[in-house]
Amino acid sequence: MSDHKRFSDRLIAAEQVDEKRKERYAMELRKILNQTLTPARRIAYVVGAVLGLLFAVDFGVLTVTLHITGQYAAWGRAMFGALTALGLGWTIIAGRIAIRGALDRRADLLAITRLLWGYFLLFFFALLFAGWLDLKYGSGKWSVFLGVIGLSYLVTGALIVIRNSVHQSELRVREKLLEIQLRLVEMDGKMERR
Amino acid sequence: MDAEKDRLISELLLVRYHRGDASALDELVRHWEGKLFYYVMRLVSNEDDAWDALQETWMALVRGIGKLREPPSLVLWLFRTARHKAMDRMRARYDDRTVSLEGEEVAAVEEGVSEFTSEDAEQVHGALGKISVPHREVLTLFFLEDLSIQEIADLLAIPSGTVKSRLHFAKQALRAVLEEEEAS
Repeated sequence: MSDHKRFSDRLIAAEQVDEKRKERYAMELRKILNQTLTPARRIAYVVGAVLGLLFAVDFGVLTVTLHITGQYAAWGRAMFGALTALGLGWTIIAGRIAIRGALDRRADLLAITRLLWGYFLLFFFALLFAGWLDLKYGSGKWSVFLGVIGLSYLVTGALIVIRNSVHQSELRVREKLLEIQLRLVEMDGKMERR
Repeated sequence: MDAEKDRLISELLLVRYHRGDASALDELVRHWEGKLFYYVMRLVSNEDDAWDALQETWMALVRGIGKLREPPSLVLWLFRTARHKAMDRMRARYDDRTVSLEGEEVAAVEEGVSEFTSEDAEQVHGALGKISVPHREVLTLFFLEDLSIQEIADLLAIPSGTVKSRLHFAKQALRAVLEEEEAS
């Protein structure tokens, strides 16, 4: 079997290629593997970053200038402040991807998942808070509705995080199993050669 | 054994890529480009077309890798995609040559046994270019040893019995070319 394998390797080695053509291919391949963004996708990230910035500026201005008084003023400001942070977070992520011109699968996707979770969590608290305010000071008609919507935000966010975690842990287990299988095959090969 | 190892390495790299390790894709490409280039080159017989077909195969991989949830089928997927890309480039010529093998006889062949040794590799490489494309293709896949007879049948969309008989006649044709070269 191993002799047969050497046969296939020698067969491949017998292939004579033109170095210039191979270099051209290697250059194109680098572009493909770097997962360079297409111009349209890059523009989409730039637009996303600008929208995120506008969102952040809007809520940033509200956080500073809004005249809220009373015992819930701090809560209100904190909420607007968190929305500002979310907007800024997205601007940084999208801006970095657009400047880099490529997506970093590990870092960027992790950052986006975290930001998404933050967004759902924030809206959950915001809606719950609004529902509670309505119950206490308003007619109370909206409190249940706001509570349900808030909960749906929480459930959606949690589902995204759980699905992501389950998928990652499945992959981790699979990776470990494959590593073991590979080691066994390699050991088997060594023993066979002896 | 080596085919199984290659398969496990490919599965492992695919899983690592799905876990966010972008360098796993580079490694996967490095691992397969030699074999796929050799295979594609036997189909198109033109280096520019072969590099282009290979490049298009990697583009298809990058675009489709997110949907590749069944790592064991990755090797077959790679060969199938490379074949399609090569066919796109050489469709008309290749179709003509394929037709010439229609109605081929079925012969009993011992599976997985090759009478060629590594010392013959260079002569075999030269002789492969002198046999018909369908014979060359099935023999190349057999020599590269990455796919089983059933997988080769799936790839070529023919029954496994036909793969075996085609292999048998391909070996005969190759042997004839080698003997002719030796005699001259």
